[in-house]
Amino acid sequence: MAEDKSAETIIRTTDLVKKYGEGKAEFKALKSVSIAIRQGEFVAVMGPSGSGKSTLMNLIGCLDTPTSGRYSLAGRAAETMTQDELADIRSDEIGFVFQQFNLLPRTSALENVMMPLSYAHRKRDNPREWCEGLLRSVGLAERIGSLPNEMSGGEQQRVAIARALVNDPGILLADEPTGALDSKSGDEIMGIFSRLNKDGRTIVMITHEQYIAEYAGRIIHLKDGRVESDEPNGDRHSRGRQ
Amino acid sequence: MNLTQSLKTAYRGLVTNKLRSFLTLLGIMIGVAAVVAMISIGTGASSYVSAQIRGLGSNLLIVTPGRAATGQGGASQAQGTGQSLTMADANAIKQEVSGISRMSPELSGQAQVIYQDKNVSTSISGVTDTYETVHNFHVLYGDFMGTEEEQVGAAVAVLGQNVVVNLFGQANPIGAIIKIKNVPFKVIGIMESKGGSFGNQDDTILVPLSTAQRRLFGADYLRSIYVQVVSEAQVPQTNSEITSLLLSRHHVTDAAQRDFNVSSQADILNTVSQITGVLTILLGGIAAISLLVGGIGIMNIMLVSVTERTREIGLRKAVGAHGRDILFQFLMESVVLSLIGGVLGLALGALGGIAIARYGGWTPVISLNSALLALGFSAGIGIFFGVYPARRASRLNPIEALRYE
Repeated sequence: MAEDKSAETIIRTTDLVKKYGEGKAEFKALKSVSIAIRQGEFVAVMGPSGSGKSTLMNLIGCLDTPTSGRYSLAGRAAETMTQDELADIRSDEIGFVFQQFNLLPRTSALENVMMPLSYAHRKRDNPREWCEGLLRSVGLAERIGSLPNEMSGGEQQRVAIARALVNDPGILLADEPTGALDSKSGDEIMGIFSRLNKDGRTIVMITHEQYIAEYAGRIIHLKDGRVESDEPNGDRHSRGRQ
Repeated sequence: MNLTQSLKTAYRGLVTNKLRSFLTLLGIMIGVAAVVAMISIGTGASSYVSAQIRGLGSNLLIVTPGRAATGQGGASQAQGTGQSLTMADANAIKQEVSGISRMSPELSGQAQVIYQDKNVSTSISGVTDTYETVHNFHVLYGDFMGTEEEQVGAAVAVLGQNVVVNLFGQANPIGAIIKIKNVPFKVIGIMESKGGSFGNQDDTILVPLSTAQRRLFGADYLRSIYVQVVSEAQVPQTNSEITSLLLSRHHVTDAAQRDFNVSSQADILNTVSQITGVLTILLGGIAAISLLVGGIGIMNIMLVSVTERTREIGLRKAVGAHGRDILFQFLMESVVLSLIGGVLGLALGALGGIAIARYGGWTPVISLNSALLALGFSAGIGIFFGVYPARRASRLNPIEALRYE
C-alpha cells in the first residue's frame, strides 16, 4: 500500500437504496445515499440508531446488495455481483473489524489471525510468520498463543485488527470498533487505525462517540437513510495520543 | 479451502465439544458394531451348521415314513409318524436298488431309563451293526452290537456320553445293568462324543433294532432308513430308484399321495442355509435400524452445532468464505464423526463376533465385505445426515449470522 493513489476514488455509491420487508412491513433503511471515498481516506460515519449506518456499512462491505442504485468498489460494479464474487471481494479487498471482536472461541490468537487465509486465493509462502508479524505490529508479540478468554477486550480487538489485515486489504471497515472498550483501550485501537491510515489504507468506521470520530479526516452524518452532512474534520488529531 | 485444512477445521470443531462428539460417535459406533457382529454371527453359525450336516456325509439318503393317516377327513399327524416303513421295505431297497454301499434301518423313541437311584428320560435308538459307519459315529470303549445280538434280540445297550454322565457320573458303566422301560439291559459300550445341534447324539442309548421293536416299542415298523450311496454323483439315481420301488411296494399310484419321503443331505443343507440366511438378514436388519438411529443422532447434533456457531459462520463468510466452504466444513465434521464411529464400531463388532463365536464353538467370520460395507455405510450416513445441517449453515445470511446472539 506504499504507492500513492490518493486521488483515486475507491468507494463510490450512487443513489443507493436499501429496503427491507415487503408491502406494509416495508422499511427503507437507506433512501438515497451518494458518497465517494478516495483511496487513503479515513472516514467516520455517525448518526443516531436507525439512521442507516450499519446498512450502509454492510453494502460497502459487500455483505449485502442494494435494492437499487449503484455501488462501485475499486472500479468494479458490486451491485450486480454473485454471492461468490462478493465473497471473493470480501476476502481480497476488505478487512472487517467488529464491535464484539468476533474471535473464534477456544482458538489461539495466531489461529484466529490465520483463519481467513484458508479462504483466500493468494497463498503465502510462510503464513505463520506473516501472521506472527501482524500480531507483533499490533503490539501482541507476547500474546501469539493466547486464547481469547485469556485476553482483555483491547487485546482481543487488536487480534481482530491483525485478522482484518491478514489478506493485506486496501480497505478496512470498522463497525463501532471501540464500542465495547474502555477509553484507554479505545485510544490504543484508534492509534493503530491512524497508523494504518498513514500507511495508505482506506478506513471507514462507524462510531457513536464524537471523540473517536475526531481521529478521522472526514465525518459523514447520516439521518433517516440520507446523508445529513459530509465534512472534512478540521480538528484532526486534536485529541490524538496525549 | 483444501482437504487437509477442512479436516483440520473439522477436527477442531469436534474436539472443542469432546463429550458431545463422543456421544454422537457412540451412536454410530454401536450401530456399526451391531451390524458387523450380527453378520459375523449369522455367517459363522450358518457355516458351522452346514459343516455339521456335511459331516454326516454328503452321500446319504434318508427314507422316512409319511404322515400317519387317522381315517377319512381326520387330522393327519406330523411327518415321519407313519408306520408305513417296514424292515421288509429296507431289505427290498438293499436288494433291488443300485449304488447302495450300506444302509442303517432305525427305530427311535423316548423312554425312561433307570440305573440304581438315577432315573432319566432319554432317546432310545434301535440300530443295526451298520449304524457306526453310516453315521460316522463310533464306539469309544467296549463293543458295538453285531449281527448276532440283532438276530437274537439281545438286551444290550451302547450309551452316549451324556447318558453315561447322567446315569453313572464317574463310575465305569461297562457291564452294568440298566433298566429301559423296566427291561434290564447290559451296557456293552460307550460311544464317542459328537455333540451336534440337531438332536444331541450324545444323549442317546443305542440298542439292537430287533430288541427295540419287540421288547421296547412293540412295533414292527421303522422310523428311518439311512442309505449310504457309493458316491455323491450316484445320489439322484438311487433316490429315484428307492422312490419308485417304495411306490410300487406300497401300491401308491399318485406320487403326491405317497406315504414316505426320501431326502438327501443336500436337501437338508439347502433348507438349513435358507433358514440361517433369513436369520442373518433379520439380525442385520435390526442392527441396521440402530445405525439409522445413530445417523439421526448425528443430524441432530449437527443442527445444534450449526445454531450454536451461527456467529462463527457469519464471521467466516464475512472474511471471504464461500457458501460451499461452509457446506464442506460441516459436512466434513459429520463424515469424520461417523467414520471414526464406524472404525471403532467395526473393531467392537469384530470383538463381539469373535467372543460369541468362541462361546458358540464356531470359527469367527469377519469378512472384508462386511467391514467395507460397515465403513462405507457409516461414511454414507455421515454425508446423508450431514447434508441438511451443512446446507443450512452454508445458506446463512452473514449479516444476520453476525448479529445472532
